Order: sequence, then structure tokens, then C-alpha cells
Amino acid sequence: MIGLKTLLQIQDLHTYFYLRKGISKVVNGLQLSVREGELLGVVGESGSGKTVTAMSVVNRVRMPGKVVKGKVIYQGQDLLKLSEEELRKYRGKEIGLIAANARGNLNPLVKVGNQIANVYLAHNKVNKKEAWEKAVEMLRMVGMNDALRRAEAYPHEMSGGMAQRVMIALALVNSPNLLIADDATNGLDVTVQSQIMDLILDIVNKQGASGILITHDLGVVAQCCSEIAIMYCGQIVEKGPVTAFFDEPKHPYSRNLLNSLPERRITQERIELKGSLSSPLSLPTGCVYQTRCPYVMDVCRKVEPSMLHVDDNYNVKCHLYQEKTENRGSANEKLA
Amino acid sequence: MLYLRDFSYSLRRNRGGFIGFLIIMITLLCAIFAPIIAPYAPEEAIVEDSRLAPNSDHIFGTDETGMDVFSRVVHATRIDVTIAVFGTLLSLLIGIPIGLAAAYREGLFGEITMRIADVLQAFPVFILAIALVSILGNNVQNIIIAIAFLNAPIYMRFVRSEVLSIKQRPYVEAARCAGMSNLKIMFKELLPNSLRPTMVQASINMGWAILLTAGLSFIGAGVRVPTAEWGSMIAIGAPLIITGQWWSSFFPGVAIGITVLGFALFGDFLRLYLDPERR
Repeated sequence: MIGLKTLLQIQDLHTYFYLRKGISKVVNGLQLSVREGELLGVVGESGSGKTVTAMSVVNRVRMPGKVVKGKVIYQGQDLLKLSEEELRKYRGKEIGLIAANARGNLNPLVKVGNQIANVYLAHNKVNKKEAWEKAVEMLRMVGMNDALRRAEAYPHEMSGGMAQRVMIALALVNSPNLLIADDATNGLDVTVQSQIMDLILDIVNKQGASGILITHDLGVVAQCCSEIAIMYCGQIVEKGPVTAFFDEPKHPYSRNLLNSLPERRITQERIELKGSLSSPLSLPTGCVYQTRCPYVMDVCRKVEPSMLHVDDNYNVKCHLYQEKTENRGSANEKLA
Repeated sequence: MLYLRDFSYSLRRNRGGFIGFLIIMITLLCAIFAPIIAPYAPEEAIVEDSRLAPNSDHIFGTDETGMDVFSRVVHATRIDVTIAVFGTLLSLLIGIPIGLAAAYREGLFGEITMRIADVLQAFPVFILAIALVSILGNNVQNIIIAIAFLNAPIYMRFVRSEVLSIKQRPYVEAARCAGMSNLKIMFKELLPNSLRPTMVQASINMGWAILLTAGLSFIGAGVRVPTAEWGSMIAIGAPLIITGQWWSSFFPGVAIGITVLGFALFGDFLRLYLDPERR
């Protein structure tokens, strides 16, 4: 059940990377909120800042990267204001992170059972034996055959799918309220992908947690999520319920994305996707999508569009919808 | 028991490791049972039997003062192996934690420790060893301290450079994102993954410590003369080589060579054995 309470709210997040070439504005002015029990899919092409957003949420952006502005409010607490020590109570306990490339995220010298047990030990006052039993139980829960024996295995002895299951077990061992899956099925074959997705969904539903699913697969979002957010150049350009989005996407970029799926062409018109993402080193003034937008207007080149509230829970960041919403007031005002 | 069986199985599959293990075992047995194995006391000089070539009574011959070379070679394992093992262990105990801390807390602390290591390593090793031993006084305990002191910067550097690169690995980042504490990340993630090159170096240094001890004794700064020690035995025998009595230097030299080889082979095996990916 989707509650009405907001669990996580990201306000005006800016994460920059200070490089020799200049300032790379990977995330700039990102707005996003996740309600309790909601499963939000964040979609965007490579380099649009999805992973950096996930890292910013747990405040793990390292030099040369830095969160320069914004708030990440989790249950009323701004995570960006906490010290490392205070953050530890949230990481892994309140917010679980499943990363892509599972094998690389596991310590090669520690048995996977012990790795899960260690994460459990870090947040619970239990002894080693209890933690180990919990780890085996978690492995069983993520559908690992012969969990008792598998817990004794080292990461290199596992297949990609098994390692990913271990990562999920690791992220869920403390029953977090928010699960962030950052491209969790990357590099797995299609059958395993769907198993892993089913597993994540199943567990999120069982534990009543919320989830952010970061992916570039629209199909996965259509199947699993209740809400969708489209990311482009470090901004959310469109956000709304999945059904409404797939019925009629608003933002020109979203329309293009959907058109790219052959089986789901929603309009007869064929829109060419020209060019690529604007470089985060030199973002244009105005709308970030102006370089590729077929409907680009003069105003797009000068003024950055604000997040417009076009329908119930439905926001889009585009000047095309300006007139339609003028009498409603902008979404930003409503959010504030 | 299971561990023991696993160990012996791996050892039998690795020929080099097996030979190394055998050499170390024989050396240890020599050290423990020296008085039983050796037919004579190590410092028992029979003047009329001096400079005898190897024969049935003295299988390695006798030296200038008439001491039995075989008995002395056997007894010397006690001193040389003690110095090698404890010297290396002590330097590991000093070097690893400092290297780990220097890498974990980069910045000023890391800089200062590394510059101190630079200074220590800028000295020629042997000269520094001579200086240390002559300041502290030449006995076994001080030679161990000197060896630890000389080797510690090497381990420090190894551990530091490894930790610096491992710090950036995704699994360390993942551990942090899972809320693990600093200490746990240091000792569960960083340290075990950074010990590989240190293990190799330690096994080589074990042999190197014996050579250094021998070198110190050779110039008279090590173990005092009548005491059986390979280096000083070579020193005593060296002038005799010219006159054809090669045995009193040759056998202790061979003993050093074999022991060093044994430690190096076993160290190499140990490195593979402890790495779960290559077992």
C-alpha cells in the first residue's frame, strides 16, 4: 500500500565534480520525493547522473565530487547535514543500497556469509553465531539453493546472478525502509534479470519498504514500479504515476524515449533523437534538453523551465506546458 | 583437523612449497635437537685436530681452532633462525599498523610517517645495521631489534601503497554504504586485502635477515666470536680458503643458502595458499 507520508525528499540537489577541465555539473537542481511503500523507477540514459544521485542520497560522494547544494530529507532528517558517524546509523540500516557489478562490491577475501553477518553485526547487538544464522536465513530468502553451503563460499566462486543475490541479501539484512537498487540487474542475462527483479519486488512488498529503482530499462519500470521519474542531465524532467506516463508521456524527451521502444510506439510521428546528452561541463542556459528538442522555442534557450504541476502527482519540466498550468500555479510553489 | 588436511593437501600439490616446508622443518629440528644431533659441543676446541678435512669423525671437517664444523653448523641454526623469525615478526608488527594508519589517515600524519621512512631507507642498510648494533651492543636481542627497525619501513611502504589503492575499490565503498565502522573497514576490508605483497616480502626478508646477521658477524659486529653462528664461521674460515681448507667456510655458507631458499619457497606457497581465489 502506498501511504501518503513522504519518506524521502530530495530538494534542489546539486552535485558537482571539480575536474581539471572545469566543473562538471552532474546533478543540478534535482527534485524528487518517495512516499512510503512506493516503488519509484528512475530512468535516464548513461551519464544522466543516476548513480551520482544515489551516492548523494547516502552522502558518499567523494572528492573531486561534492554535494554543493540541496537537501536530502529522510523522515524529517537532512542526511547531508549529518556527520559520518551519525550517517552510519542510516546506511545499511535505514537505507539499503544494491549496486551494479555485484562481484566488485564484495570483499574477495571474506566468505559471503560472513560479509552479510558483518553488516548485520554493525547495526544489531547480537553475537557472531546469531549473525551467521541470520546471514544464512537471508541467503535462503533471496532464493539461494543450498544456502548453508553457499554462505561458506567466496565471491569468486559464485556466478554473477548468485553474487547479485548476495548483494540483495546484504542490502536487506537490516530490513531497511528504503531500498535503492542502482542498476541491480546490469550485466546479468535476461532470465536472471527477471528473477532478480521479481525477488526485489517480492521482498520490498513483504517488508513494506519503499524503493528507488535506477535503470535504463523502461520495460522494467512499466512492470514493477508505481511511479516513474525521467532523468536528463542531472535533472528530473518528468515524474508521475507509471500508468499515466505510459498512456501519455508529456516531456518531449520522454516521448522520444518511448518511441525508441519498437513495440510501444505511441505516436505515428517519428521523432529523430539527434545528438547526445549535453556535456555536464558546459550545460546550456535555459532548458537542458534544448539541444535535441524538436519543439524548441526561444524561451527554452533563455529561461530554465520550472517543474510544472500538470495533473494529480504529475510533474513535467517543460515550457510547452506553461500555458496549460498557468492558472494552477507551478509545482514548485505547491511543493514548498 | 580439517584445516590441517586442507593444508597438507595443498602442500603436496605445490612442489616448491613442499621443499620449502621440508627445509624449514629440518632447520627447526636441528635447532631444537642440536645437542643430540651434533656429535661435539659447538665451542669444544681440540687443538691437535685443527684444520682436518671432512672425514668419518668430523664429516664437515674442523676449523682453525679444532672445532667440529658440523656441530657448529647445527648449533648455529638456533641463533640464526631465532634472529630471522623474530626480527621479521617484529618488523611486521611495527610496519603493518603504521602503514595502514598512514594510508587511512592521509594528510599530515601520513606525510610525516612516510618522510621518516624515507630517511631510514636513505641510509645504506648495512651501515645502519652496524651503527644500531654498536649503539645497542652486540647480542642476539639487539640484532633482532636492528633487523626489525631496518625492515619496518619496507612493510610500511608496501601496506600503505596497497591500502591506498584498495581504499578506492567498490567493495570498500559498499562496506561504507552498509554502515560499517572505520575500525571494521580497516581490519576486515583494507588490511586482509593489502597483505599479499607484504607476505612475499616477509618470506624473502626472513632469508635476508639471516644474511644480515651473518654479515654483521662476519665483520665482528654481530654475535661474539666463539658462539656458533653461520656468518662468523664463514669469517673465521675465510682466510683458510686460500690455503685450500675450504670446508670451514663452505658448509655454513651452504646452510645459509638452503635456509634462505626454504623460507622463500615456503613464503611463496603461503601467499598462494592464503589467497582464496587461487587455491
